Amino acid sequence: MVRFKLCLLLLVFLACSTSAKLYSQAEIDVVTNSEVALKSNKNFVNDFFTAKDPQVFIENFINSNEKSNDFLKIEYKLFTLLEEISYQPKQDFLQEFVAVMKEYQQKAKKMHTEGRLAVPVYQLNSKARGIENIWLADTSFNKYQILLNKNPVETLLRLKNTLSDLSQPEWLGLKKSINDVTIDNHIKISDFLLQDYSNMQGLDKFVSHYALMTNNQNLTSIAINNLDLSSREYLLRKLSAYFAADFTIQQLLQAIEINKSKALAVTLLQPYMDKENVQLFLIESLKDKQIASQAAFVLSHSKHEDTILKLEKIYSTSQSSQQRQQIVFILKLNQQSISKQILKRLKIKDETSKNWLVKFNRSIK
Amino acid sequence: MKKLILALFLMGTFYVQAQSITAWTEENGTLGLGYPVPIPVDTTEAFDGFRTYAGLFAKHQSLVMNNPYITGQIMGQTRDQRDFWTYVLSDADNTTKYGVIEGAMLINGTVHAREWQSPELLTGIMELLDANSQDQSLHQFLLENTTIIVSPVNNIDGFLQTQRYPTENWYSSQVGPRDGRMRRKNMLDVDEDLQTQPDFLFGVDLNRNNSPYWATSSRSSFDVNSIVYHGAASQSEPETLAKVNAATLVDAEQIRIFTDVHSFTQVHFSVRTNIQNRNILQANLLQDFTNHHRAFPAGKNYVDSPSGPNNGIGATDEYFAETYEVPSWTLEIEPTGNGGLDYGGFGRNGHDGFILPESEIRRVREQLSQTFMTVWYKQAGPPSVTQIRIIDKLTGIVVYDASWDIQADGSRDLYTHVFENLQPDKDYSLIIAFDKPMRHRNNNDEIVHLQGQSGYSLNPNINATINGQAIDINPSASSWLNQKSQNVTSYKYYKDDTFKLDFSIPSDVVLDENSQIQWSIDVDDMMGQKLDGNPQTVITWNNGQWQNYEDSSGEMSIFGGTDNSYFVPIRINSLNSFEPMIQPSGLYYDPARSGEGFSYELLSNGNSVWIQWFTYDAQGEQRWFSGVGEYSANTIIVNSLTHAHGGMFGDEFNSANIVFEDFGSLEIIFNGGEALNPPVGSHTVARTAQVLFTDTNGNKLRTNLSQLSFVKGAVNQPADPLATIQEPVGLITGSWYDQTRSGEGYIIEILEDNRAILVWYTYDLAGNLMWLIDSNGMVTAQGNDITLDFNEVQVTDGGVFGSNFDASAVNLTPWGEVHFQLGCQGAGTINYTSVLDGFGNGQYNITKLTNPMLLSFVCDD
Repeated sequence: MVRFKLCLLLLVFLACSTSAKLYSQAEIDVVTNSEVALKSNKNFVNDFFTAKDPQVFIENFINSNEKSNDFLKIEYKLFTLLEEISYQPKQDFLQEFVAVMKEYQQKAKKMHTEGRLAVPVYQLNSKARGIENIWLADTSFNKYQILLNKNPVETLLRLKNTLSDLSQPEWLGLKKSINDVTIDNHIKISDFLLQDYSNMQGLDKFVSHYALMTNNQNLTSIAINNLDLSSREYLLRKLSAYFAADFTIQQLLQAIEINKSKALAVTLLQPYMDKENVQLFLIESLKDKQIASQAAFVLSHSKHEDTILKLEKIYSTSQSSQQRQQIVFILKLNQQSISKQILKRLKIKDETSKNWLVKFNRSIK
Repeated sequence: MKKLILALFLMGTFYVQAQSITAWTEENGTLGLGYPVPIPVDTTEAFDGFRTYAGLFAKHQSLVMNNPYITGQIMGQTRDQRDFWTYVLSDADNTTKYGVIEGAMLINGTVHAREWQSPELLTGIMELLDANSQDQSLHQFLLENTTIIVSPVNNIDGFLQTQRYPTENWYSSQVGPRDGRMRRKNMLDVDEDLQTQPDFLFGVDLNRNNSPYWATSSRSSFDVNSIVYHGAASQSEPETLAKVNAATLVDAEQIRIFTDVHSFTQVHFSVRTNIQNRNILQANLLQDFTNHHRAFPAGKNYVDSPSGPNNGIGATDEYFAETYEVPSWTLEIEPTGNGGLDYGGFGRNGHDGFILPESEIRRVREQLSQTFMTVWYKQAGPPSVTQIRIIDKLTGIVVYDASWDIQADGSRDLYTHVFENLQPDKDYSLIIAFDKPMRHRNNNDEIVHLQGQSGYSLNPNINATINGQAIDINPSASSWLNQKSQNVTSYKYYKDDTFKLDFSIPSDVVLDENSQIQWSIDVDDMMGQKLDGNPQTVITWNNGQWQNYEDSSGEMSIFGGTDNSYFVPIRINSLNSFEPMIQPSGLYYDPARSGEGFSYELLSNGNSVWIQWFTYDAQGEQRWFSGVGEYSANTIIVNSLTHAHGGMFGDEFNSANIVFEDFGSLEIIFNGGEALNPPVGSHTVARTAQVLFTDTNGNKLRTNLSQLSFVKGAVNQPADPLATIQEPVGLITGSWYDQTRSGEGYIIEILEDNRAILVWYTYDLAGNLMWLIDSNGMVTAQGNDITLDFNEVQVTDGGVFGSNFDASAVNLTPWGEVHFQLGCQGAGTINYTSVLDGFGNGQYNITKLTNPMLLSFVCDD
């Protein structure tokens, strides 16, 4: 194995001394779309996996092609091999090859689509690194599947200090492992998190996903009030995908009331805007400078003529210029013909709205 | 055996040649990302994720409605007849606070539909400027002194298509992902149904559809299926015409920079032209961009990869580079060429770089927005000195004033005025104002280099010479000013646009009757741009570089230098018999401009001054402006002089309709004085003053002032409160108003010769501003009850505002009579009868509004 690495690294070094070659898109297409190349690549991959000694096979392949300068075909083959490896579990012989490909000096270049910058035709380095990430996610999944079932509280206590340092693949593995936690351990995790709000500290991202994946209403309610901004917002915008409408509405209204991601929460009420209590809240919010535009945006999605006519009535009687202005905003954004008719007959009282309407002579489709 | 099984398995799972609709996934798979696939959220609010087009659009429009600095324009339509909106972020005029035409910063987004980073960034820029539009610093400076033109979504149809199918696209390993989430081109001949296969490769690449290099490169294609299909003709696409049209919102000579925002590769694809200075300045600018952005904790590095001159691919940035000869580039937002791998992704497909993880977009949006502010700040123009003042530290007297005044021909003249000689062995403060905020502060309010900058001194390098010989001015304290006030040691318009240096002149300096100190000022702005060596010629951008940007020798340059323009007399003796100082409350006018004038009252509480300017508009109609300023030593400063709207004479008047608008600022600086011979009551010294009015567009009007009225007992410093004078009539002087008619009022002065003056500032029957005057009021006092009879109240017209004022054109017309019954305690009535049609007669109850600084008059016991 050591010999293999040394030899390949030497080859990589030798390849460094050869300058890269720039290929046109037409040249690339010829190779990429060639049946011969496809067949050859297929054979190459099979030869690698069936080789008595894959290390020697690769060594020989690179050795024999090193002087050909046909970098496009060489790297296409290597790329194809990496593509196949990306579906395989981590194994020593694959791992070694991938490690070398991470440092391989790519010679087949093409011009970047937008500018004068030579970029690899086949992203061998990032492909190889990506494979390591795939394997890392698998490893992480296996690790946390065991840990969360073996000693969930201790695992969470350790995660409080390490969660923010987890790489994306490690986090992906951890997240996936939640699905495999037993009911008993779910109870332990939930109890731990709910026992004291301070237990959530450092676990924000975990809690936001955990609460949703386990449909834990109690934890969700408390988490909205205690998580950091990113995790709270994630939780809020995913509520409707995991919980029933009533609970979702309740949580969104609660977030608005306690001023936690208030403006975002208002816009997330959109699927429920025809519910009486939500609609009343939104119409009243048109007077609140902090969230008036957001409430207007939600109401502008209304497909009900009754709602639009109601807004027209409110416009005529409202003493709040803020509310009147936002109703004009709704009517302009709303796609129904009734809104356009109302705008024509409405006597616009506010200068801001008037000026804005002059410019806004057509709305989006 | 294990390998053999794998090989057999592979035999059956090799390439699938046919195109099929394939989904991007978080988990490993054909298009596995390794992070969640972003799904646009229908919200207006920025969050850790991407917004729908409807959400972004509603955000833009709400900003237009709610922020007067932001306006929107429809500049064209897309293939599918959607409106293409461009947003202008600027104040209403196209001149800076300093009277110079504003530079324009253009930024265009979402030419390629799948690059969701782009519309988020452009919206983030709008949100950043909106949130900080009153910061009195960098952002407000940009809004008030530049014109920022933002076109967030150029390829709206395509963008909507990507959002319709946020996880799916057609895919084969040979062609790669196309249409759906990976649509790049516009929607020419494409329906919105992803399932219909025949059209999924169609559309025009809007970044190949531009002149002057349309269809001149093998990197664009005639093939309608090609990802880089350049369209049937140059600018054949309505989206291309619309984005080009956006540039017409300003004059061509205003344009200073263009950016077309794409993703990904984390690189500047800049365009070189045949003007070398332009290429140098562009490279420097992009290096500044990179340095600033790399200084954020994420350390993202953007490399400049220039192309051209004389060739191109039909890209948008080439059009702007060649047409306007400004820095122009395609910004490819992160990730790097490694794509999603930069964020721990699986690197399964090179197109994953177009799918930025949701967890990254907030940082990208917010931090790139901040970086854009810095390069736009730089392209707003190199700094120049606007004003220099020297203040006697002991007395607070302004002894020297110099200012660059913009002229009608666009050049500047250096106005200078000496109020008092500089003298050896005295302590002074030198105040230097610049035409932009010059320094950045950290969260602890400490002056620090702007991140990514380090190559300049934080304090200016200021030198003084007499007859070419350097003198030691013993610099002591110095500071950039970030506090706004109405006195001479305030910043001018923006925090840290003004620098203060305390110094003293050695007692042994050798002087003669012509000695002058020459000041040399060397300073960089916060982006490291040096001063304009000669502010007389105004810097502009033309022909690919800064023009009129002189170096220290006064020679043309592109990097500026030291400004050596200021010469200040220095003598052993004082210039004046009486030191410069403000004069007491009263009416003041410029003898060369008889027919207009000022009234000011030095108020007895604090250092406030209530000032009114009675003048005309450009058409010769009366105008009055008012404001509350501050006085100290020999200066009166009013930062905001306002004019009123919405009033009406008589019963139609409604205070609720009155709106005050900013009209400009006012400074009055008094000279030293001569003895008033003979004295008039409490008035013993005559002083004139220099007046500077600056409108909101930076236009200046300078006049002189002389004292017109000698108010009974008026003083310019607090009188002895114990030395009371029982003379109730003395308490009448001041401003009066009807509490139910706030928005109009009466200035009444009781003079030393026992006449009374009235200026009634109100509105005419059509709601125009009107002021009435009578300077021959008869005063009758019975104890504490005072009667004032103004039998010759007049109204004027014919004057013209500003430098074209002609005193001989002013007409006086009798208006009627006004009579007051006033108590010395500050309440009374007014009766009026007009001889002019429509004004009729009336009566109001009035109360005293102000207490000007007078001798200590008291009512009768």
